[in-house]
Amino acid sequence: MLIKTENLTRRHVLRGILNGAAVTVSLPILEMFMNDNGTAMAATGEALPARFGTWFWGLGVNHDIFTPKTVGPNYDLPLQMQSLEKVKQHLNVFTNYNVLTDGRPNLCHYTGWVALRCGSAPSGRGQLPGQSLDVAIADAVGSGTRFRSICLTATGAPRDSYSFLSADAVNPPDISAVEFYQKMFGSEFQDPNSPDFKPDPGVMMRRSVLSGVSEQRKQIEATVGAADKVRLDQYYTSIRELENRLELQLKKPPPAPSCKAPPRAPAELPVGVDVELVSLRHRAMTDLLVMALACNQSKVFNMVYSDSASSLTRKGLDKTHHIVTHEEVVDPVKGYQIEASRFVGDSFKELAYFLEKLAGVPEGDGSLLDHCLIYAHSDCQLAKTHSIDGIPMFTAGRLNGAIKTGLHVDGKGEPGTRLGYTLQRLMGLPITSWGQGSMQTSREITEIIA
Amino acid sequence: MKALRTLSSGALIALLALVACSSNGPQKPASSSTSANPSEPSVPPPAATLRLISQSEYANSIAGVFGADITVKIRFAPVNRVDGLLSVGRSSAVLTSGALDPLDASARSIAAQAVDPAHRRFLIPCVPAKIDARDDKCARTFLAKVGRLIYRRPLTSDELTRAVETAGAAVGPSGDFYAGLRYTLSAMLISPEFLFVREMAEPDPGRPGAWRLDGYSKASRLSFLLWDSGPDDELLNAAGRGELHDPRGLKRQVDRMIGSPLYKQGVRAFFADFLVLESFDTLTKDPVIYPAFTLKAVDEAREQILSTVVDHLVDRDGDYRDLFTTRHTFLSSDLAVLYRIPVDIGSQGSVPYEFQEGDPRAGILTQIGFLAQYAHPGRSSSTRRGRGIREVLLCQKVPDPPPNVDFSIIEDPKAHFHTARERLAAHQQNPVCAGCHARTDPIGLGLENFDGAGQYRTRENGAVIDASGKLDGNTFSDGVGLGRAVRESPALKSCIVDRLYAYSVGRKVGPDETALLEYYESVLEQRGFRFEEMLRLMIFDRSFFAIAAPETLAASNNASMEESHHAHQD
Amino acid sequence: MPRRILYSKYGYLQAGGISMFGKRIRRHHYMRALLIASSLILLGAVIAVEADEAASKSGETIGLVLTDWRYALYQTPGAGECSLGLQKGAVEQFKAQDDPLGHFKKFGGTFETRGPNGEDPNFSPMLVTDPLPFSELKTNVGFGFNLDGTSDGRATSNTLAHDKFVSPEGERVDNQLARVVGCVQGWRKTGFMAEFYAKEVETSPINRHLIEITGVHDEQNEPNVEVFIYKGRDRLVRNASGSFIAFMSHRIDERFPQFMLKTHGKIVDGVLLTDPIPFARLPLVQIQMTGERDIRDLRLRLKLTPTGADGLLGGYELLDSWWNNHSKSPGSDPGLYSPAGIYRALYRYGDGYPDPATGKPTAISVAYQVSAVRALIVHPTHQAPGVVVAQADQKE
Repeated sequence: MLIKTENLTRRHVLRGILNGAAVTVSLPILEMFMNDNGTAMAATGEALPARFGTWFWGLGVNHDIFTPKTVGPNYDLPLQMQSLEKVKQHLNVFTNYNVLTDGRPNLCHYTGWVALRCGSAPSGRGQLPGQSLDVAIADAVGSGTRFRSICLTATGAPRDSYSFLSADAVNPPDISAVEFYQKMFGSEFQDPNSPDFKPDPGVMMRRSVLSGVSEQRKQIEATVGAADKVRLDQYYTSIRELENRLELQLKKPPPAPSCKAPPRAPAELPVGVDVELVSLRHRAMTDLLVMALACNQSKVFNMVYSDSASSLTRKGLDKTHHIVTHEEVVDPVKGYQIEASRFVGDSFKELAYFLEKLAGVPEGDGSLLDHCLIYAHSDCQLAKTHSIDGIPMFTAGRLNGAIKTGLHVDGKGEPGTRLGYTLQRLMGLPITSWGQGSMQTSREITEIIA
Repeated sequence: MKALRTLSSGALIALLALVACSSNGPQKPASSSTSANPSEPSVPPPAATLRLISQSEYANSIAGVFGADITVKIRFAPVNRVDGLLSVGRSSAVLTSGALDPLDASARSIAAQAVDPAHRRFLIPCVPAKIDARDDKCARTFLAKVGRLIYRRPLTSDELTRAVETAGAAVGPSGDFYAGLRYTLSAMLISPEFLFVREMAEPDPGRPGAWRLDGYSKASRLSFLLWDSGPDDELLNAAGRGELHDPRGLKRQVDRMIGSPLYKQGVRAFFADFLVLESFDTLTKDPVIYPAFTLKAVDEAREQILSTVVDHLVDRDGDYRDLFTTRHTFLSSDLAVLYRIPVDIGSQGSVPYEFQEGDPRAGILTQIGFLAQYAHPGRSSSTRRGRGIREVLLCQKVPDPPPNVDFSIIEDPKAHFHTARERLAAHQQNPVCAGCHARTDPIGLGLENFDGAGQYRTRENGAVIDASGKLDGNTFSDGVGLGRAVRESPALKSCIVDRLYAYSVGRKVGPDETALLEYYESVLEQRGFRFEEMLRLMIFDRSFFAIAAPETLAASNNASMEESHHAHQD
Repeated sequence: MPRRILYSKYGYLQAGGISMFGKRIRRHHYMRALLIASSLILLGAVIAVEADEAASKSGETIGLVLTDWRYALYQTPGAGECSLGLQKGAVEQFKAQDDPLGHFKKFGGTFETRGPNGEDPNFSPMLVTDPLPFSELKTNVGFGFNLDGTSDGRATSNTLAHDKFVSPEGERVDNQLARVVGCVQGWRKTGFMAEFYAKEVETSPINRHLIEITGVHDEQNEPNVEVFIYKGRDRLVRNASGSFIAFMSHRIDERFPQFMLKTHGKIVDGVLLTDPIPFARLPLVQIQMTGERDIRDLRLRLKLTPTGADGLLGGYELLDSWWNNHSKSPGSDPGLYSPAGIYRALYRYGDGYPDPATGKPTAISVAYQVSAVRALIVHPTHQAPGVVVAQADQKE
């Protein structure tokens, strides 16, 4: 697969070993890639840069009513996927891909998503043996926009994020649509379509002041041990990213025809994980996210609909979605748990909303979704047994035509990392393999590559 | 491991479950209450830490530097909980961009408030010669004073010069002296010297070859432990004069700090971490089943725990163990609905309340907060409550359930279980479940007279509730009895010592330190587990401020052939 | 077990019969003062406990706080029960007057200045005549109590002759005020005044009505209970589903002894029925105007539920208080009525306690539909501020 020029990495990552600890140090933007428009592409007149996103829902699916009976294009849309009908054309669905743990325990509602995000099964709860793929992709394509990546959770719970550098560096999600609005479209938002642009001298001051913070780096790092130095390195990287962001703010942003900043913040929503409330929060966040993408605020985004052990509730039900999956009787006629599958149905209604919203923004010759690549997956296949074989996965979006859509791909038991590997390659990462142990792969899923 | 691969995964999991549950982890010898004079073991000094500041430490420090009326609106990114404490997790926490962003916004907001016309009159001790020009003298006076409080040590002359230069240079573009100060302040508040608590070591003159924390590092450690805030002016002065290296000087400061109203803030911060009170931020119940469990009731429930703790451990100087049997507490308006107790107070604040002898409630395990925290949205959970007691209060790990549990018994619609006890009986009958559930359910069943929102009940689905249970051989018949059993549990004592020690030093406790903790436990066994006693025992111990030789120095020493400064391993 | 403090017969409340801190502490030593204070508190607590035990022997207490209060009206969507449909509003009456434009040019305003010299009909109702007739309630279905004890509404020593209504239970009841307001859109369900006032009942501490029923051994049937009515001061809270939260603590507002009432009653098949209170004053804020309800022979009929109660409150409401409460607030325009018509109807239908000199009624039979949730009624503990003695003045 050719690495297209628009996906050349603007940030190279040095990997090395220091006293036995892996060290990651990011180098700053190479100015040669920046042009007046702030995109590597404008000079060549090619399409807008591609975006990568993830969407997560907890507690899997019910195989009998989820897995399509046919593979390839024009697959039959099964019962549990009915609410995705309108977005079927944007989707690929992947079944029968497994998570292999090489003897490590299957930690319920944990091992599955960890492996699908970072390529390796964890050996203990709380352990994250690598960075999530969205972080690697953000490293490659995330600079050049105001935010390196966006993390959101419809549950409103601060720990619900599956984007991470390590167990000590989980990217914190925005938990409130109002706060997200303030962050994206508050006082620091620069409308890319505004006719007049004046660099704010305050921003220049902030940038120069921040560079002063970095000046003391050597003295401070000289006094700490190796492991703490790595942590400080990450802090200084974050400072540098802040500086880069300010630098961007001093340049006129490239025009974004579909960008229309919402005039006011959405209504505040109360704390809680009632499924209706989560839907409201999800939709409020999605509406803002879609506009943030249209306004080029970021190219990488992560949405969590429900957490991996789905603590979602329904009014009048004394137990959470999670407990329902364990305690509800399998209906003898239908052959699946009715209440549990209702929750799954709700999850897909929200996925449909998410994708329809992205597809509803015109961009270039298509829609915003056409220029996205979205990776959606769960933590397990059947929550009742915590099975990590056949964890359902989707892609959505056409990535500027780089990926085919509308396919059902049967993984035939192969490791699920094949998809994550394929997606990273499509986003231009110069990797030749991904994952560890039995999850290591160097084979893309060629069926979906255009 | 290869041999085990040949077993079916189900058998393997069952085997692992049994093995996991039958071991109790590293065994600690029961503290001997008969040893009259336990001798203190010496432990190898630990490495210095670089600990991320916490959200409350940040807010309290700002209040200490700039005054309580400065608005600090920030939510820190969650930190990994390690060994039961966020405080320990902070010693390995990393500031990603997402975590740094709100800190940057907060730094600018605080700086803007500090120099605004209302605050500059009393926060900035001098007035510039001209408001639209630089005034290095005034800038220097202010930045030295405030920088010392922010960095928790005096600025070096280099740092101060640079800060004054930045402030001066910033006046030009903005045409405002105070804007210059504002930019410099915001840089200080985003600096790692503020955001991270960096421990610095110096050679210990009293013990050649050994190292100790320098005075300012001692000040920080004391201040964050006792006040959940950065050191104040007086503590920094004492540090600067070397008084914290002298036992009397140290005692003077510790006495002062424990006597201060800020001490309660410190106690609250420890228990908020130790008791995992962060879960209250997202605690909700089903509004149909528990309509009275409002968000205000949740806040009040959390506050009740902390008020009870502070009242008992500070105001009454009580024994920590009696937290699980005390009948003294506080009630607020919305919380009282869940207790069905009338309170003579309006919508704000709380009133002291004492449960009577014979009341089904006594101790914090029978408070709404604990009961609701460890329950489902619409019903109680003996397993969760038992697990909470084991893991949080007794420091005993309960293994995760195996992946493919068989719930068919509970799922049987013909089963007609009335009470939780009946439902959970299935846990005991299935050997895969029994190993772990025997460690949790018999404890939690003692709290079954309290529903998922903590409300008292005598029946469930018409059947009378039997709240008998046992904790490691101690039997009881209700929640009050459970509190007594927890109070008598040996693990309760070792756990609080472990956690408090780890919290006070802000890092993982190593296996070499086990002997020291056992020593502390045996001393406290004789003196009682009053909180102030525990703190003083640890703070005044000779090992509290001992630190290993700095890594870089050790590395260079190892490389060099000189022997004169090689670090001892006592 | 709620703590109970004993109270005196007259509705005033004291803590446990002991006036705490009534005497100046003679010995000024701080520790001794503390000791005395703590022993008094303990003693008070002991008395409270004894009161608890006494109370449990004499039964439990049911506490209620009113959450809704509106006229008990028979109403149908088409207002077929009204002879001319809903009452015409004050603006429409104005427009039907002679030369409304000329009147407007002379006096400004429309409905506010309808008097011949621009008088406000609320203050001078008899000076204003309505060109459009008053719509009469022509149904005989109604809600309320049989206040006069008759079956046909004939005149008695205390009442004037009038037509009664038949309640859904078949009882012949008196509710003359229904004829005055029953066809006014604003006072019917979803009407302006009805809902505005309902909101004020929910939010204003002035409209906080507490009911305490003591001596209850069986919530279904209890032949002899005591019923107290108080003004409260605490807030009502709705839960996430929108219903009011039961069993909140509600303090009695001891600043208003004039609103403390007491009567006897009984509970029959879960329904509380009280003896009439000869004269009851109740606090009121209605459409932003503070006033007071004065009701003679006030009685309650409340169906009790585990978390609340619903039912009726009724009696003879004094006409001048009623008119005072209603005439000062901005109701006639959005509420669609004419004060002139209402005032005349008030005296036309008034049936209670005629003035012996003039024969005119001074009160009118009324029934209000009320809802309540359970509350924990809190009697205040009295602690008058003690005398504080400065450190330097303390002598041993």
